[in-house]
Amino acid sequence: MSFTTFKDIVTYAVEKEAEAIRFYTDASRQEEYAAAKGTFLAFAEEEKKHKALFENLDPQLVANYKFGKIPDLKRSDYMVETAYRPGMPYVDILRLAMKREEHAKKFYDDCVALVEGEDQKKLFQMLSQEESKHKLKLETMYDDAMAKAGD
Amino acid sequence: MSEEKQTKEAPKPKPKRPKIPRQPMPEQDAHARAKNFESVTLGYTMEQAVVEATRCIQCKKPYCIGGCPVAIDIPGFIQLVKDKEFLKAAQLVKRTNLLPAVCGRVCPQEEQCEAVCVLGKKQDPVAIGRLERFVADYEAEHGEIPLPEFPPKTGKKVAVVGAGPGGLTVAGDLIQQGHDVTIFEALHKAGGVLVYGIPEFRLPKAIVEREVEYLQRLGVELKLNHVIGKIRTIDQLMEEDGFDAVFIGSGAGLPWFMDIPGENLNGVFSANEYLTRNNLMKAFDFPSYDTPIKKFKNVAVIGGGNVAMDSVRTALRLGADNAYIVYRRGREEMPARQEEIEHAEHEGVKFKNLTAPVRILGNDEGWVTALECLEMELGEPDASGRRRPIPVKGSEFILEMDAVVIAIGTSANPLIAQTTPDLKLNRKGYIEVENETTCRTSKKGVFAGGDIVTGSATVILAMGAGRNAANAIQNYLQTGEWWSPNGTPEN
Ligand SMILES: Cc1cc2nc3c(=O)[nH]c(=O)nc-3n(C[C@H](O)[C@H](O)[C@H](O)COP(=O)(O)OP(=O)(O)OC[C@H]3O[C@@H](n4cnc5c(N)ncnc54)[C@H](O)[C@@H]3O)c2cc1C
Repeated sequence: MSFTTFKDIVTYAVEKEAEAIRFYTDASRQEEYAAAKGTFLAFAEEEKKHKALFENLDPQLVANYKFGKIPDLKRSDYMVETAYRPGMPYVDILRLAMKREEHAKKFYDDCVALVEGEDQKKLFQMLSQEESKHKLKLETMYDDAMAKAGD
Repeated sequence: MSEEKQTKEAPKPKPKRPKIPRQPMPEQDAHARAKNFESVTLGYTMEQAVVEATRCIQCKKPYCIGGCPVAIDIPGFIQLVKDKEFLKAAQLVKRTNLLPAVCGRVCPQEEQCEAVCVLGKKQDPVAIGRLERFVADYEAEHGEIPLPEFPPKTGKKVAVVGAGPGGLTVAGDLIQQGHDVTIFEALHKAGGVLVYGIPEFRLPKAIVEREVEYLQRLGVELKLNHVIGKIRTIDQLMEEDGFDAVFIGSGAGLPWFMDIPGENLNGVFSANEYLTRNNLMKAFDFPSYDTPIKKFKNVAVIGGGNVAMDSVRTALRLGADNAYIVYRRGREEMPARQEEIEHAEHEGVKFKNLTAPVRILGNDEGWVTALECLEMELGEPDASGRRRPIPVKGSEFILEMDAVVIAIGTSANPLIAQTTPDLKLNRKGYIEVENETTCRTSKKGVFAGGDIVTGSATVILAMGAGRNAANAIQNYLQTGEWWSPNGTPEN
């Protein structure tokens, strides 16, 4: 995959978010219970926000983007891959979503290393940071649920 | 003259009531008990109980009652202990708590009644839990529980799914209202976590058996080895078997794993399996009982709750040379009862706090050989003010291990929900009820309470839910009134 222009990258990132929206929406359709449906739909909504953000990206926005240190709890990083299965329990749904964010972040981090232009690097760094925010949000939810249970 | 003046001015010191210290609980020696399954704590003697009871100042506004989820008349029963009316004290406690011998042993009193005891502001609170246990044990030894007067039979039938503390409470309350009550229990013994989870050294099984026998004497029918959702569904119970109401108290017994590499190796157990093999199938007494459990030298138990403490202390008693708690957070965050953590420490359990397992290693035969861990440190406080553990880069280390027991939490077994389509669940997969008081589910005539509604909680909360549900079922059987669930209530 080659990213030559700003537009290439943005188009790719938007498509990745669209895929995530499809994934969560499909999962929500397959769920029998309102509650699990709701969890997946909430994740789809989060991805929609990202998609909208990326669709409206322009170089100026990226130039002004505020970088900060997003803590990484690394809860998903040591876990094995997990696949969607209908009826999966709540913590497994969180694990699945965390893993997806971990992969997305890692992908953009790899891209930062691969591309040469400063602007392109910055764009990928921004995309990576956005995924890190999602990852942190999910891992915090997960960590809260697990802490209570004694993990 | 001046001396005289001085004596006049100095106020006479008030005679101080000597402070009686909180009476310590007699215990088996830590080294000896780490090798046997006998009770760790031995219970107060009569003298100790009376001395402890005299510490209660009989507050006019007793906060302790409010601190108890089932509102036991605590000052009342303690006064009776002070007066040496032990049987009466036991009967008073039993008015609101069906299982005082259990709760006296396992309730987290330090977070409930004893946490709000006025004495606790300046000194140690009254040992309410120990006194509760004392009166219940005294009654078990000296008194026969009298059978209550029975009201005439109502002809109504109630099914209780699950014989844990929640289900047992519902059954006990409703049989005394004249209904026919049948408990369906999946396992071959009644008691739920009280028999399969909490080990003998903390809660002797004879205590639970005695209470179950009492319910049977009252006329409760107990159907063991009956998995609802397999043998019969909730719909069949109601439509074909003639039950007018059903209470679901099936607990939260489905274990979570860590999803790290190596979890399918031999020697990896869920805490549930490990404890059940030992408690319910008496693996510690193999070959007298036919469930074996391998003797492991080095056992790591993952987690910091009561379940983890029970598992690690069981590992010691089964002969482990080294039994570890591996916990990703700091000691102060452990949800286990303080007393249980201290008992584990005294018995020689090794604590690896701020340590997270990342991989289980095995040999060619597929058996566990080691646990790879990471050191953790506390990160910056987040928006909630919480400092969460994060891995220390490059801190990986290996602990030699031949068994790993995972005690990081459980959720509801989905079987009943899967076979009862119109039963609404919340986001976390627990049964949704109208509220804690009515315990009414989305399905007419079906009530639920205990861990299946709240997620893993405590014995006393499950019993409190059982009592509420029994009242609500009684009301439903009399009036037929129901509610109309609309929308998904917030979890
Ligand atoms: C190891 C361990 C230690 C604990 N220590 C403490 C402690 O110190 N203090 C404290 O207060 N709490 C403690 N708890 C928690 C406490 O035991 C539970 O909160 C409590 O038992 C919940 O009661 P319950 O009636 O809801 O369910 P449970 O006790 O879980 O009982 C549910 C019953 O339903 C049965 N069942 C499940 N599905 C079906 C089905 N489909 N058909 C028929 N029967 C079914 C199960 O076999 C079980 O017998 C501990 C828990 C564990 C696991």
